[in-house]
Amino acid sequence: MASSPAANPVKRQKRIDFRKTEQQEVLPQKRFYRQRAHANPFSDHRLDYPISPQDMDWSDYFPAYFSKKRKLDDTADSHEETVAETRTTSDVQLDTKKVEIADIGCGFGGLLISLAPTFPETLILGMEIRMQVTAYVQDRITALRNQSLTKKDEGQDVIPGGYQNIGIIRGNAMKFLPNFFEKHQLSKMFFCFPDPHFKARKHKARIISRTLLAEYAYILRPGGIIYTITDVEDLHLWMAKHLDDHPMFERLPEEEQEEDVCVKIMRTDTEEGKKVARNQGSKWVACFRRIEDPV
Amino acid sequence: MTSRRHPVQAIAYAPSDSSPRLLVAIAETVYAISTTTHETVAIWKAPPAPVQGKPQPQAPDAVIAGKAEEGGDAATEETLPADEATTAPPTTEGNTESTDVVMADSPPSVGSSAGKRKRSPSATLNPPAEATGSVDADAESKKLDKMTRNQKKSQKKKAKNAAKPLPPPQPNYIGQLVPLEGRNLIAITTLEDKTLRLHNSETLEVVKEWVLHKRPSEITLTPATILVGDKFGDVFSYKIPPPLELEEPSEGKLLLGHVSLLTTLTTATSPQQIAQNGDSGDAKKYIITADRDEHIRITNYPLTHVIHGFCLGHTAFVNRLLITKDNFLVSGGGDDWLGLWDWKAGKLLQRVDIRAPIDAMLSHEEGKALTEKLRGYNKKRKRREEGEAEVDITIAVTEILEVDGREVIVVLEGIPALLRYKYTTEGKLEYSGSIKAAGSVTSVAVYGSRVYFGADSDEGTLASYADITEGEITAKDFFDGKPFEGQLIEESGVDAVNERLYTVEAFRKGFGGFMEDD
Repeated sequence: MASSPAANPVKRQKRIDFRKTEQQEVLPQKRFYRQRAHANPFSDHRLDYPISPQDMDWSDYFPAYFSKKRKLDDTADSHEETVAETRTTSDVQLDTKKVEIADIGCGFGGLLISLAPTFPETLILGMEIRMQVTAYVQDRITALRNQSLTKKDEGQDVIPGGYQNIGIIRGNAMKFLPNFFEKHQLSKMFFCFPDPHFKARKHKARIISRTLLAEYAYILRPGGIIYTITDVEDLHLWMAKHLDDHPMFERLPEEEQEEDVCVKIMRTDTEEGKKVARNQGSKWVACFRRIEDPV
Repeated sequence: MTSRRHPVQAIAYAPSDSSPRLLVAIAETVYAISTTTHETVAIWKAPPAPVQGKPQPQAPDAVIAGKAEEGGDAATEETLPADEATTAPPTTEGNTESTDVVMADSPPSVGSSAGKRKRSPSATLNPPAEATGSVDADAESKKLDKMTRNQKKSQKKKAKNAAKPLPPPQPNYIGQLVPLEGRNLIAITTLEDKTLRLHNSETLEVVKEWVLHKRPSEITLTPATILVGDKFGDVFSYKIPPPLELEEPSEGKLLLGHVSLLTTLTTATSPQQIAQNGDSGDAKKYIITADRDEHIRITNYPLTHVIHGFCLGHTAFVNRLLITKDNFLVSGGGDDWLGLWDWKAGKLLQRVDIRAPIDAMLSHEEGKALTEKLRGYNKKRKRREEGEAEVDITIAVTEILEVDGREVIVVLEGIPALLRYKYTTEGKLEYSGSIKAAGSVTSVAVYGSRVYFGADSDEGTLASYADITEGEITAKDFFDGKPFEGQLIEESGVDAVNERLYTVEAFRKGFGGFMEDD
């Protein structure tokens, strides 16, 4: 099972060449990060995930907010250099923040990038299972951060947060969310245009399911919100029904939903949302609040 | 190789005032053996499992006919539609169910393992009939070059499926035996037809039957229900009917689910919290589940939509859980250590070493030989990659039991011994010796201070027992010289039997040295 997406060796070489070159401030191009649209959430991928949230080293993803964690089994020398290295902005107190917003299945990262200036003080993490797509978003964030830093040096206006507050991780959110997040850590979770998995026997692969909602409720704090959007009406009904039926969630009233800035961003700024708009498709939104724990 | 005796894969003690008995499961059969006379007093054989795969009119007749005759198809006829209704086409269901293990596998080798059998994607396994089928489809699809790639693909698939004969019937192995105390009932699972049954513990007659959604990993009891954890990651509860309502149909209720393969589950109660003002709070109940992706999850019960927490710390699959008398959790699986947890707080209190006792017990050579043997048992077992350090023996915990609240007995896959761990005065666990077995320990049960176990050995005894006392312990033959037939494994079936008996190490990731990836 050769698994590279590139059938054409010329294209593939171009892709490799592009990704090798130092991309300091150039935004990446999607065509160099192609990958099939779906991944099997049940299979083993070569994933990196911490044993527990306490073991997570966030400094690779949010270097402006976290100091490098030294792993217990590491010998001191190999790490010395990296410890001092990544201080990008000095005006933030390190290790005081935690990720509070997660975009599950963030795809090419459109939502992340729009959310970044909207919540400049909040750490936002995108999770994506497809490796190439993750690499694209990572390069995109790096480029945006570098652009922002250059602008700052030149005294120009920069976007609040300078894109230091968004990060992307390759991972399987259906299996490993509790490895990344503690109980009640998150305030918002986004599920934008998830894989519809039409066939009935594939329904367990859907990102919203009765059993998974218990995990999301564990990770979300009381009052936290789950945002869903899809262009597939069936899936919308399925997600809304499962959230409605789940004792830990209540639906956001229509007006509150429409006033929510995140809903606006979700409708217009996700990559998939733009595509649907181009094709003049419908978009279905449903948002739910996590209620207090039962006593 | 001469014919080999089929080891006991599950064992249980059924207490009774008049006639206590030991239940042993050998392949598809349960034997009830009196603990006083050592005579077999009842036998129950699992009905043949429904034939997997869609009924196909064009499939070769000979294969089907042979199958149908083999075991009087009444049960098959009955269960097949139910199975179909709940889970869509069985061919594909096998696929999703075992994805966790199977997707990451090396190319199919034996084709008889539980998970693989239905999938067999590689052409090497397929008979010639199919090969030509797909070649034809290939040629045809070339002509239709206007079709999209996907359409072509699905056409190819259809042609392939149509030509594929049904896989051979699989023996309906007994999974687990669990006596229901005070009810004169035994819960027994069968793996191939995925069924949970209640049996009369005297006669082994079936009194109640539930067709499960997926293949069960483990069942456990609460006072009023049987909890079933399955390979698909879900936990269902089945109400134990009162004596007069056995006939009434009842269904399982979905309680919780993992996306990972669920390996085991148990229940726990948190100690009553005495509030300041004097009235005691209710004791809270929990279901504890473990999965192949290193998680131990604590879920409220019966409010299973509320997850209390996780016990995270394992670096390999978790396969067994035990709640001790002092309400600590002991966990074990593919790591070199057992975890001792304050489960309520999710805190790992101790990593209890199991590597050192094994290394001390087996010489380097013995360890190597055993590893080789186990690799031979399961063709899918992880290949050693070049340059990788030589590992003596891989550790896979198959059982953790507590004896009398005094010590903990641990069984490892392939190891011909039971490991004993004692509590220290600080409440930690400490290795205190082993009980030798005639061969790999394949099943174990505890009653009082006595441990019963089955061993995989041709020369030694099939079932043994040992009384846990201070000092050195020698196991004794349960049958006490009385002849017990058991079953012999035919030469041709040896591989298939081994793959069914030695399944735990296969939970390890990177199994087969290959993972599905980009």
